[in-house]
Amino acid sequence: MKKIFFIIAAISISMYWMGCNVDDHFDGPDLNDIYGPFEWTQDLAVDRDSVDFAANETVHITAAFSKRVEWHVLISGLTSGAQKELTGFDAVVNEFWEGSTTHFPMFRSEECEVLMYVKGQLDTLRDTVFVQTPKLNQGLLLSDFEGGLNPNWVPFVQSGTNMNFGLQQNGNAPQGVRSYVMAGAVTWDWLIGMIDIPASAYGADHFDLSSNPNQVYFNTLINKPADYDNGVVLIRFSEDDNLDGSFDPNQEDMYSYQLQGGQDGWRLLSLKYSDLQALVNGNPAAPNGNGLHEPNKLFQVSILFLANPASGYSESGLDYMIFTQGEPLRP
Amino acid sequence: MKKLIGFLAFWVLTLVVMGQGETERKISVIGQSRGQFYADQLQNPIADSVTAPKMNSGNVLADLGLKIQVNKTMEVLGMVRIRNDYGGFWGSGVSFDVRQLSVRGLIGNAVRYSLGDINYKMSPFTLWNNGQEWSESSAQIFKDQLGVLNYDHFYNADHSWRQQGASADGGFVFSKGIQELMWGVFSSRVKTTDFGNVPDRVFSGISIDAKVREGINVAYHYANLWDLQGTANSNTAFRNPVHTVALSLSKLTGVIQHEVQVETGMSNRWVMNSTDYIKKSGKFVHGVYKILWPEQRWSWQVTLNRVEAEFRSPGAQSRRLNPKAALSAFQRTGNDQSLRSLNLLDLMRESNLYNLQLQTELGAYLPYYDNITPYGVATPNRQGMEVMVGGKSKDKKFSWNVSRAAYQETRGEGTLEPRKFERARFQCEGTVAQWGAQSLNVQTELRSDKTQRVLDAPIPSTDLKTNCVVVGLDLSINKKWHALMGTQYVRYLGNDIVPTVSYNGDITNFTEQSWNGKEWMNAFGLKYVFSEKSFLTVQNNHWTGSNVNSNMPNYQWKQWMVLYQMNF
Repeated sequence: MKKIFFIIAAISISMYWMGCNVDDHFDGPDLNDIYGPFEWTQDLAVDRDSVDFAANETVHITAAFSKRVEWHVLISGLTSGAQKELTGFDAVVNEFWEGSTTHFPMFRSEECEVLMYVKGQLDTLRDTVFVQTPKLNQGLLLSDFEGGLNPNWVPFVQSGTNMNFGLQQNGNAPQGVRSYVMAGAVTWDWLIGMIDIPASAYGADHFDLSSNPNQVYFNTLINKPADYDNGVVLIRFSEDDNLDGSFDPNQEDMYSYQLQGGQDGWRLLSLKYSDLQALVNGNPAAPNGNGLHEPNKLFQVSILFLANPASGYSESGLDYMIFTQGEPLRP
Repeated sequence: MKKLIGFLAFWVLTLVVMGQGETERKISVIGQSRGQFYADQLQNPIADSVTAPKMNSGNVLADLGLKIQVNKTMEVLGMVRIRNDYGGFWGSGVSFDVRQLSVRGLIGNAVRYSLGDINYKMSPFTLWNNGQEWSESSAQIFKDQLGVLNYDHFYNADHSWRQQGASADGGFVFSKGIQELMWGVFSSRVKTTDFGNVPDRVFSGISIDAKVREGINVAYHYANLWDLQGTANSNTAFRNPVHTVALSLSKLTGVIQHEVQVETGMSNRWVMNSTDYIKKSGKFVHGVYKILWPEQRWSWQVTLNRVEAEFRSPGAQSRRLNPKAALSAFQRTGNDQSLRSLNLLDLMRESNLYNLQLQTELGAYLPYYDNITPYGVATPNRQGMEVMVGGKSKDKKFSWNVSRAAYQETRGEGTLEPRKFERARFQCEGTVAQWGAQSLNVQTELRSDKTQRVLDAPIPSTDLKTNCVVVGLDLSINKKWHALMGTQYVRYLGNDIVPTVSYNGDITNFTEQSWNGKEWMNAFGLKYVFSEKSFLTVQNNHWTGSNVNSNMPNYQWKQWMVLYQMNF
């Protein structure tokens, strides 16, 4: 019996000591992150002086700290005023900037300032990088308005007061130097003006888009001046369901998106084609055609600018209209 | 009104049963009658024109239980509580409650069953109602108050949890192989559905205990706190099964008794159809080796324990004390009516602080009272050893023990460095002198707890010490009259980085907390024992304390208590 007790005692002690160790990981946030001292163990570093984003070059930004912190990188275009923000919570910064923009306008060919700071710390580190060529976005570009208005577009403008439909170059363009302004006051009709953008303006009966509506995104930069909330932008997508080279509104699908209000200034509007709905007076309705979202049969895009006739002058702006494939535009 | 109707219906049913006149039917009345009166005085050293300094409260109650032996194999127990709060009259302040309703019986002379309100326990790692802080070695004068609180909350000496459900147990005797096989199953409802997000929550358990041969037992325990899917609109369901295996050996070698007990097991914990909860698993191993000399004059015990950080067993880790609950006596004090934090006196009398049900998450605790085993032996994230030496006097009227424990965390919190814990304790209890009909009984506990974790500055290191002295004297003047005295002193000093835990049990942040306080409770009183089942005691209790880190002034609390209690 003594043997049994010794064996059991030995097993018990073995079990205990086998397990008597401390895990190699811990619970909760690192105390060093909360209470530990902060210092830059590696200063802000930008791996190149100039970058050609159009050639798929990137800027590699690195830094390191003595503990995990909330860090911020702010890249500003010194000419355009474009801004790119990067942020994270870590002890190491290892980020690549591919030329995209967080706050419009988009970056141009310009000198850019790279600033890095850490929340709760006083120091701000600075470096610069020169953008030789801004980022090129893949997709079907309808217009960035830099080369003027496409002559095959069909504009219609009411004869109201203070009407202003056309290219604008006032230093406020979110991309390049020019944008398209839509403004005026019409007291007898909601419609202030519109542009029809037919596929024929690009040399084809239909836009060169995928047939998968889940893969097609319509993107545009759109402006709402802070002083005017009464404008309504209605974007229509007319499909040639029967492929006869024309659009019959009574027989074929027309999907729409209506935008009113929202944030002031320029913003990116990205619409997934499959999310578009047929609208009647702003309300969802059954489409008149086959009811299928068929971007490969898109015949015409129309941009309508509307406002309540009693609301007076209204204004909006457009820039950089582009169809993208697979994902929305990352400007 | 519903309670009154229920009460009357219960009595009518009882009378009907009594009136059946069958010869084997037996009816007995059991219960407790009690009168308790408090006269409190709060002495605030800072001018306080808002708080009433004196407060009287109390109640008289009767727990009336009828135990009806319906037949040879069935027993029905119903107990109602009639309570009249101090100041209640003509129905005001009077309450009727059903305190217990259960049916027990025997099926086929082989299976015992219980339905309704039942007390159940399994092992210390599956279903075990651990004692609240400072309750293990109280002075006799404090035990009287504490006994009232424990009785009201169904905190039984056997560490069982009061549950509402059903249980069954039975056993087999074999002529070959193992000698006996005992089994038990149990299930109770812990939480009621709200038909929306909260489904019915059920606690279930299975125990199988095999006596392999004399002195060797092997047991398996299974406990699970789980949600009954379909009882609410939400399709999420909590699951926390615990499996343990236990081995118990006992052998007399010469005149020395050797006992070995080992229990090991694991828990899993997850919420079905929820992405918020990540499935977590934890294990434990617990072993005790005990040597007892003849008549327990000497005993030696070593305990090894390792409970992983992720081990969760709601049945064994649910706490009695909820320190976040609101106090009812002098809840707010001072002209600014700031909330008063609980103290030792509250622990003995404040019913609101105590919990009656199993909890899915680890409950809050006060590190300065107990930072080492706040969830009993199943406290997660602990590993260590305890050595205890003890003994009893020849007449077994006096016992003592000295223990020393050293633990550390199995997993660091916020750092790889674990906290280290030490506990030294001396306890003794019993008769130290006897002169004819007079005797002197003492109850003593000296305890010293230490928590330490050294980290590189400026990260704060942990250093928390808690020391406690409890001395109780019970002078039995004759068999009826007792003079009681008691003192309890607790001193705590130090700091720790206390984790902030999210709703799913993950640590999300840490807060550095410091404690520098002391509490001293002195009491004297007289007790008249009418019989083994009834007594009357008058006690005066004086609590003083200070806490440097609190904005509360160093108030004092004087309490007179009259308690009459009769069990029947």
